[in-house]
Amino acid sequence: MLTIDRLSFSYGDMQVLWDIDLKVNRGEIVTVVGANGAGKSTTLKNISRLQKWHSGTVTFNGTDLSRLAPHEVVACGIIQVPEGRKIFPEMTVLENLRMGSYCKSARHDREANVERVFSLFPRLKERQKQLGGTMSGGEQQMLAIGRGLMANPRLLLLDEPSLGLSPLFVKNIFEIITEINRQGVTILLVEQNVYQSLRIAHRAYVLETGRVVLTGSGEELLNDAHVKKAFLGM
Amino acid sequence: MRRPPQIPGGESGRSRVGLVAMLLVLAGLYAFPSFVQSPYALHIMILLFLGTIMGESWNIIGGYTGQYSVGHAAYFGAGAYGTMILLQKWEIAPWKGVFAGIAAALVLSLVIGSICFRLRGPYFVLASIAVAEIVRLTALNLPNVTNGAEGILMSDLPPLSIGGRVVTDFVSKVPYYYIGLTLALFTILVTWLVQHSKLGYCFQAIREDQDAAHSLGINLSLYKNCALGISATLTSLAGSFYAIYIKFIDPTTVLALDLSVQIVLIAIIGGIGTIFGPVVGSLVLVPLAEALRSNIVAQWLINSGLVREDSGLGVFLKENLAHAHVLIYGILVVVVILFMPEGVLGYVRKLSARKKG
Amino acid sequence: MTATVFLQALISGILVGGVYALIGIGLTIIFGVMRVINFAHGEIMMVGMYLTYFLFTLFKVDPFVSIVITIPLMFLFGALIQKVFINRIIGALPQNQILLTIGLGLIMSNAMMLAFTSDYKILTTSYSSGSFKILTSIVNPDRYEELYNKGNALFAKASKREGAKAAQTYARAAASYEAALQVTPDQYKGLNNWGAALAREAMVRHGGDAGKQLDEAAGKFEAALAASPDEFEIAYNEAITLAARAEMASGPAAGPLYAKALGKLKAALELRPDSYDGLNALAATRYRQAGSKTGIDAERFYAEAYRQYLAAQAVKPGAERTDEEAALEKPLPPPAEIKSVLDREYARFAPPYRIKADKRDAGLSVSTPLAISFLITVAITALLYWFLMKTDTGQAIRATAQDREAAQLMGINVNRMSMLAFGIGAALAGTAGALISPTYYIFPQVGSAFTLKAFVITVLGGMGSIVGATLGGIIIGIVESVGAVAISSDWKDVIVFAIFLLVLLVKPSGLMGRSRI
Repeated sequence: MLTIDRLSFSYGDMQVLWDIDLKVNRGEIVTVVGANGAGKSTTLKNISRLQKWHSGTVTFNGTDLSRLAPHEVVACGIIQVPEGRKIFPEMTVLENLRMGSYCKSARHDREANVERVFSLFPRLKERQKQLGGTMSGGEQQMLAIGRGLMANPRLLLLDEPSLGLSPLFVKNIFEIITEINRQGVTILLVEQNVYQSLRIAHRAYVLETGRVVLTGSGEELLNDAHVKKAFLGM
Repeated sequence: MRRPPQIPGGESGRSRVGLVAMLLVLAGLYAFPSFVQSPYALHIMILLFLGTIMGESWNIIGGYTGQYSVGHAAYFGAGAYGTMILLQKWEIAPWKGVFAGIAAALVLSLVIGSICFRLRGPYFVLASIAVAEIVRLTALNLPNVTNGAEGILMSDLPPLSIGGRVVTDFVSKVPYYYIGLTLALFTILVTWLVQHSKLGYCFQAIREDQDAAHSLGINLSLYKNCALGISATLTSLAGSFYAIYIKFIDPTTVLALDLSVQIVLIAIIGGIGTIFGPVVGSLVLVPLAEALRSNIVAQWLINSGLVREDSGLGVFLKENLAHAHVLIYGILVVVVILFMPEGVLGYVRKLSARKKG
Repeated sequence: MTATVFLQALISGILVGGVYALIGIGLTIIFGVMRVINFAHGEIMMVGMYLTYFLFTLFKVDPFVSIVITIPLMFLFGALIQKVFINRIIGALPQNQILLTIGLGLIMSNAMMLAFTSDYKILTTSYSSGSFKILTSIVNPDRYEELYNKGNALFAKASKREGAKAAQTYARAAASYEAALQVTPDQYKGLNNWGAALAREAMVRHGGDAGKQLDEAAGKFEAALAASPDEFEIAYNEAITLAARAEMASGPAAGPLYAKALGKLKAALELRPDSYDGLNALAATRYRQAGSKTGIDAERFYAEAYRQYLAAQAVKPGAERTDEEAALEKPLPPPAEIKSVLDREYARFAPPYRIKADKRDAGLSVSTPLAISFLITVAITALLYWFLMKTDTGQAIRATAQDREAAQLMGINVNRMSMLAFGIGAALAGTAGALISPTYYIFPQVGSAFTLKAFVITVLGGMGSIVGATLGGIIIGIVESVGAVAISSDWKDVIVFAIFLLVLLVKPSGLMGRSRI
């Protein structure tokens, strides 16, 4: 479904991604793990075209993404839930959700999608009139994911969804991700919470200083000696 | 740092060439009035000096310290009015009145600094404009002191005498030429000194990152006020010089927002944060404005046969091109910001670097 | 400043503030979406003014109707500017953004100047100087104005009559003024006219308690002067009343009264040195005072009266003013001749009273064009609010302002939103230009003052907040208008800028906080 081939990217003179190869198949949960600054978020931002790579190709269902603007990537069905949630602070929960279905392909499903998100996150239904900026971190994360689902995503890019959440919420979030995947949405997940994210992943990649160093099924990586040593403290 | 400090001619070979060139230019400037008697040519040179003084003095606060003041007309006006009022009301000679102008500008800069330096970025720009406008409106509304909108016309300029010997009686433009040249060289020297001192490094640190500078122990408000003080002093000198040379001032010419913008333009167009940027800026702007104002351009277009004098366009050009210099300023700014954000000097440097590389 | 004056200033302030709000909202939307401060905002408004002016002069389109043409044209103009210039510097250094827009402003104003000269143009409609009254029953609940006007009418009638009839009519006028003043005290015009009516009646009647009534009249003038000290007419009226009183008193009591009358007259003449009535009354009073003196004193007083008589003659309406100084420098004729001239002139002299005869209606005056423009402003603001809050595109503009990156991830084309926002900002500025064109001079440099005003408004309300800009506009309108009457119209801009600095220092985020649209 999504194929990244030899992707390289620099901030000015500083190269942060080196020949990344990555594949996501339909229906999978693919996880990218790595330390802070390994280039995980940068990879996602390149896919959604917020960053413009300088060499390599990214194709989605055969479409070359290299000439598209971010909003056109969204129109292809790739939806990113950004790091730090980036909720619109002066809009209500409902308005934030409706913004999620701004792209033309999702507009006619808007009411149905709102119901779907509310059934996934009943908390959001209770708070639908509240301003986004006034909610707690966990609620904002629910809203961010819900907002992403509003666009009828074919591929959902999740950037650090568990960052800054309480342990109870973290568990909850990963259950929800699995549930979303079960409903038919392909997921590319970037996480620092290596254990939880590998547990739910079909396949996974390990990124270190901008390079893919390891790849395999979630389970394989969980049992890999290097991963255990570097990320799980075993 | 965005731009390494420019030491004219880093390598010894280039520096020797640069030094010789600079001495030649200085000698040429010194001898200029002996070869060229045309008052108009002298007038243009004096305007160039004036532009250089204004641009260099703004450069210290705007270019080196990164505080974009768009209210420098206030200091210019303080110098002009300080000198003129003392001369007209108490017959105090301008070379003494200059210091009153400087004092007024310094006091003003401290007031403005204490108000505006708490603000950053666009808020600072807006505050500097607002303060300058308050100064202009005050001058306009206090006719007892400033003669209001009518302005002050200098009636009589006493001859400059040192030790009882008359040095000059200011009949020709030559004395103004040398005063302007001296002041321009002085401001360039001050800029050079600032750039090569600890003070200058603190200024530039503030320009690059205020918070980082602060965490390095640089007292932000002290150094910003210091930079503004130097800048205000030099600008008020320009104002005094203008008043003595033109012999007429009013709030619309020496205190208006237009003037503040013009001062910024000289530095921006030349290239900010460099010693010779404002020189380049006034070399670009002053002749351009004068050429348009004196209708040289329109006449040239007609003489060259491009436009017929009696055609509608010819008449239009002859009548209107003289007023177009501000329009050209506007176009220049837009072009410079879009295509050479480092100014003409920076652009030329980049081009030559590209050729070498 | 009376309550009425204050209310009047408040109303015009709010009306003008509506237009200011429109300018401020435009700036705030542009800033909110692009984080660019548009220093060409006032110049864009100026372009709108010219557009309106030419639509009116060439095609006879009413300025208020013309906004249906101005809005789309200015929208396109703004969108074009954004696409060609502003879009290239989004995210650049703020100072570069500022300079670019300053440059654009210079281009606009100077291109306009080249095309249409820097002459002031005036767009005069049938309603340009029209006005109407509101709150007639609230501001003057017991119809002070009606009683006052009635008094004026009676006074005018009385001055055409003679004898007992005149006295009667003056008395009725006085009663009418008295009633008016019971309704609204301290009205200097009413007090002045009341005093004049009382004095005239006493003079015509001449007898009984006339002296006492003249004292009463003088008291009214004194009260009127306390309410409005710089009125020549009132001081003059009091002086001639005192002079009449002095004449009636005669004997030693007359002396100080004459002196007081002369003092008042001189004070009045300070306010208007070339008043014929004033100088004439001065001469007459001096002449009368001389009559109560003897010997050398009398002669000196007559001489002075004569000089004042000459001065009065010099400024007499219709007199040739050139010989004024020559006449004063000529040596005086012998005392006997002086006396005969003065006797002829002032034996039967009754100086006219100056009453304030202007008709005044109750209520507050509202300028018709300002009122219409305010209504349009309200409608446009409401429409804009609906657009931003209720439509998908409006929401997308807000989303772009709140988080540009997140907006891109929603599939929003932020470049298009920026163009839309600049277009809307320009359309609002252009509309404001159209709305003020019937009441404002139109010239190429008019913009810069409005650019500054627009900043003050948006900073006051909080950069990026629409509600803030609306509030800020109204506040600045009120401050200007009330400041102009309370302090002076020369200083109103200084007051506005001082408030601006104060806000920047005390609460740089503005009244509404740094909230976003």
